[in-house]
Amino acid sequence: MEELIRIEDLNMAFGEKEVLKDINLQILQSEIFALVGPSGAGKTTLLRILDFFERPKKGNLKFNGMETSGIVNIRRRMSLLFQTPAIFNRSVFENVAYGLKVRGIDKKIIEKKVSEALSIVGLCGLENQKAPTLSGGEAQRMAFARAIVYDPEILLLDEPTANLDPANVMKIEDIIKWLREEKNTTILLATHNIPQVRRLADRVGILINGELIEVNTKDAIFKDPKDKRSEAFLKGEMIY
Amino acid sequence: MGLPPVFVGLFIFVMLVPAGPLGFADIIFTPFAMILVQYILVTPIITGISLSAIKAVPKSLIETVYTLGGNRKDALIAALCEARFGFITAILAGLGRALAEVGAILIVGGNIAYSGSIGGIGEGLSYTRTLTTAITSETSKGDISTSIALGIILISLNLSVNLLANYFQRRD
Repeated sequence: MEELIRIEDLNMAFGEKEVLKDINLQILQSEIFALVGPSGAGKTTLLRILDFFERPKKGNLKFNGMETSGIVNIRRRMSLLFQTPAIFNRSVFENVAYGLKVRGIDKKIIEKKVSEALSIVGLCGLENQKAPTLSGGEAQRMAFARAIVYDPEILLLDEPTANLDPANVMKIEDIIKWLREEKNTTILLATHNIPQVRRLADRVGILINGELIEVNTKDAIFKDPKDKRSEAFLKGEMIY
Repeated sequence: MGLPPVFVGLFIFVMLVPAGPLGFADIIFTPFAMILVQYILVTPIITGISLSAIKAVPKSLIETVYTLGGNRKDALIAALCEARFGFITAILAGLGRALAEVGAILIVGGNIAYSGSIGGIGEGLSYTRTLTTAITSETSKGDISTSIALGIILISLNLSVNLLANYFQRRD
């Protein structure tokens, strides 16, 4: 598989506090890469850096084969889904159509794409419902539809199933698998949900206290973790 | 957020009288002077509520605009759209405040009504007399029934505006 994102010697600090230390990582095309670590490890910060919300203190980001003549152009080929989705106070249709509208897509195509995206996430028939009235699971699935409606090449997911019931978790995981299989989307999944990593990931990176201590294939990392901290975390032991 | 209306009225009066710095404009005791003073009185109210509405738009929503490929202009439009009910509430609050105003418009408007009728209708047609200033003058003349009738109209208008403002506040 070809390399899609390369992160080199990336460091990030908020004031005096170092949150990411010398991160080196390659994300390959069409893979599901799980960035795993306890809360506060720096997973969200790394995703925010990749989507240009934070500027790293040091280091390089390379988006291979992607348009690099401006942040908006790169961003338009990615999608970041937050743990708690922010919802526009409008209809479900308008929420999902938003990314297409800002790209100036034709109305008829928007209708078709929104309808497809809603059918993928199982929200057909709710087009005209006010988005703030959706349940937590429905809102997250709507946010998913909104994030995938314009076929992003890279999907950055920040704890996409936190606080969801098992049925909704299963639906979201099915969507993630479908995206990878049918659309060849590259997915970077930040999570501390180990069973989910086992179900979804191709490769895994363990991030603890801002350090990427181990990167390997899922099978290798679960079978034979090279670092004691990785082993402890994967076994579910508490790490401070 | 609000300014003391009588003081604002007095200040504008001093500015607009013929001997005042803006006396050349010759607008004292005209509806234009009343509009000016109302503008000064309600602008801080409308601005304050509108600002609160804009500040209440969550940062995560603006970030969502960017993640979905939007630019600064899209983020600004999205923020304004999200705050739309707050703006409507602000305008209605300003309208309610303006409807209820007495002191400032009495000072700069002079509570003028034409005597006699025009075309056989409208005895005492208003020039700078509003519902509120008419109530004060009718009460001082002892015409309580007219004052009460005008008062009922005024309170109905104010209640309608407040009900509308509440409706939009709930939708926000």
